[in-house]
Amino acid sequence: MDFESPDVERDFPGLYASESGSGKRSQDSDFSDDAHDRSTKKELLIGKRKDKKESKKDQGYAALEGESSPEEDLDVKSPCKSKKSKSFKFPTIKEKREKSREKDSKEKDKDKDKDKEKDKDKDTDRDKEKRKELKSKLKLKDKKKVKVSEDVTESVEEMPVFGVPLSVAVDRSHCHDGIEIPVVVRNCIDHVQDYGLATENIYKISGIKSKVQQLRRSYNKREMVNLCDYDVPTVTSLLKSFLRDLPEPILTTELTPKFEDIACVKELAAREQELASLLLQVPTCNLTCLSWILRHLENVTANESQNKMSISALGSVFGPVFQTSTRVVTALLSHCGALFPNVKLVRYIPPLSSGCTSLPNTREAIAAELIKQDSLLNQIHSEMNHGYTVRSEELWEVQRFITLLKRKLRSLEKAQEASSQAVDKVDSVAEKSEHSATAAPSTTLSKIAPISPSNDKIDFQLQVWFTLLSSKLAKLAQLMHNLYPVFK
Amino acid sequence: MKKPNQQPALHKVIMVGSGGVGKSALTLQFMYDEFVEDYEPTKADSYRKKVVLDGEEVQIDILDTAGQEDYAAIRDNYFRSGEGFLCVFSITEDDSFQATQEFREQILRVKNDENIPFLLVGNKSDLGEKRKVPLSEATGRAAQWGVPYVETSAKTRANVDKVFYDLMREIRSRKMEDNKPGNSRGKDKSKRKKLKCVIL
Ligand SMILES: Nc1nc2c(ncn2[C@@H]2O[C@H](COP(=O)(O)OP(=O)(O)OP(=O)(O)O)[C@@H](O)[C@H]2O)c(=O)[nH]1
Ligand SMILES: [Mg+2]
Repeated sequence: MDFESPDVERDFPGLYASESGSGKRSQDSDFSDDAHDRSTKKELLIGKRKDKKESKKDQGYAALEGESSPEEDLDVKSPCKSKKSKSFKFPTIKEKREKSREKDSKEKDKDKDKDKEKDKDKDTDRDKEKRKELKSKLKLKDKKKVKVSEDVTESVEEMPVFGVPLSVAVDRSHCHDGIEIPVVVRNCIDHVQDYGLATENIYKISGIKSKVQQLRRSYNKREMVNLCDYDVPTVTSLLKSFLRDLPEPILTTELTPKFEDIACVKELAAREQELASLLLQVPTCNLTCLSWILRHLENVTANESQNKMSISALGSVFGPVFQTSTRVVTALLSHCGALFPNVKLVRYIPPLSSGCTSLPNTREAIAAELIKQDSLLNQIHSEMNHGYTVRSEELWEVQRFITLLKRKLRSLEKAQEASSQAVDKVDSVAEKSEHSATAAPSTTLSKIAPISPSNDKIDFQLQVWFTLLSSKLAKLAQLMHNLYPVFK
Repeated sequence: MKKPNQQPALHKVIMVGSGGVGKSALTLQFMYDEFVEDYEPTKADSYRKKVVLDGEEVQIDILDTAGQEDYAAIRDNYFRSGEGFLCVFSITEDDSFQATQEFREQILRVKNDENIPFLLVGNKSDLGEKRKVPLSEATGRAAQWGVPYVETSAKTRANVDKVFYDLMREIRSRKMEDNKPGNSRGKDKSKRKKLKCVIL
């Protein structure tokens, strides 16, 4: 295993120190569960609504938005300026904007729907403009790149995660394990699941505003965030603010009134049925996000005795958050299990940071990690290609980590190959010796070498030994085969 | 000048050149003293190694890029962040030598810096009997560019350390130049070019 050369160990001190740690192993199995889950859920969520027109429309919209959100240009006067200005300037601009938006959103809440319609029209116009701009931008790309100095760490807040359409947020803030929910939502759910379920009046109590702002900024800039440094109310406020600031209700502007109607249906079975069929019209990324949040809130209500939050209490908190009525949230929550039977909350394990001290040690775990790292690398590349950000440090780091993982994977594969080749060899040798043993007494061999009894004995012993060994090796190979389904 | 407790200096080197010329082979020989006979095209790989450069402990980051055009799209992002380049061709393949011209141009375009640390490397010197690129032609081009030319063999390790160390020295002296007090060239590469023009 050449990757264990002193060089590598020097570069990644303690790389192999905790390799056999049991924590690692459970993580690995978590991931495989998760991967399994993902495929089943996709069948459920995407499969059914594959040919729905809305999803296509939505994707088109998302793609446009992904390139650049219209509102970016509202704040950033000149793209050149923004490139050169230092990152600390952005939060203040952003903060003001966010504050004003928060006010606005409260005031606007009533006639939001009308506004949204107008906004949408504007957006499409703006998108067209943006497209033109983008084309010329692409032409200028080379020149632009020249201007950007790689030493300047730029603000990424020009591509915020808060206050943009959900599909854009998912795009910008990937979970690298394939679950298409913005990282911030996933992190909040995980955190509350871990530390908040017993907290009295959870989701009702607000967190510290400045801390929530701080977190929003960090997520907008795609910084590493450790929610463990924050208290539960701050985290719940963060989640609520993310949802509240979505430009469109998570149930969509179009469908929200229909949900209101269904929520009034008295007959439970009928209500459940109608909810289920209406949910199929919700865009996939909204549905995924919604289902995870509801499943999580279900866990909250399951701990009502401790946290004092009943379904209706949560409903009244989340009505405004989902930009709908209490009744709708209550209805969704009470049918949650039936509506999303296949959604299981899986903790998000982000790609290992390149500074981490231990690599996964099984082929399967390495392969899984490589997928995450590749997803991360692609995101970095695509952000750099958009010219918004310079993340070269991270780019080299992630690339280095991938190279290291690939080398380890390859050496594991080689080791396995070698062992299976050994099995083959032993098999063929055993076959030969078997063959010669049976053939020996008869014609050919006896002519060349008359076999003495002692020779025979050795032959026999060898044969026994070979068969024993080869069966052991075959078992081992089988075991390895079972353990590590072939990658790729 | 250097404070003793600082992180060792980090020099970022990028391997460029056509597919199959031996960029990965050179990198792996330098990193791990190994030579791989099989050709497996690279998408991108990155390595870090601590080395002693003229008595000073430094780190070298090597980015091994793809020669194959299939992966060319992501190359720019890497080029931007390189501090020095080893532009590799195979002395047994004229096409790979011709391609160095394009790589040079692409690097100059992305870095906008005529004086970027850069070595022209003719690899596979162990295959002298199959030489297609005359030494004079290679040295001629290097002279025209104002860069050193070195022939290497990733197989025999000939000159492998030399190209990496020589490039690191160039990067280091380049950085020292940039950090000179009263030197306003600092981080803005475009300014640097203008200044150069004035000198010329
Ligand atoms: N004889 C000889 N063979 C070499 C030498 N360097 C590389 N090779 C062989 O040339 C082939 C290609 O080498 P690589 O290092 O993979 O080429 P590359 O430049 O990294 O190619 P890409 O990754 O596609 O850009 C391999 O089969 C190597 O074994 C050398 O110095 N001498
Ligand atoms: Mg290569």
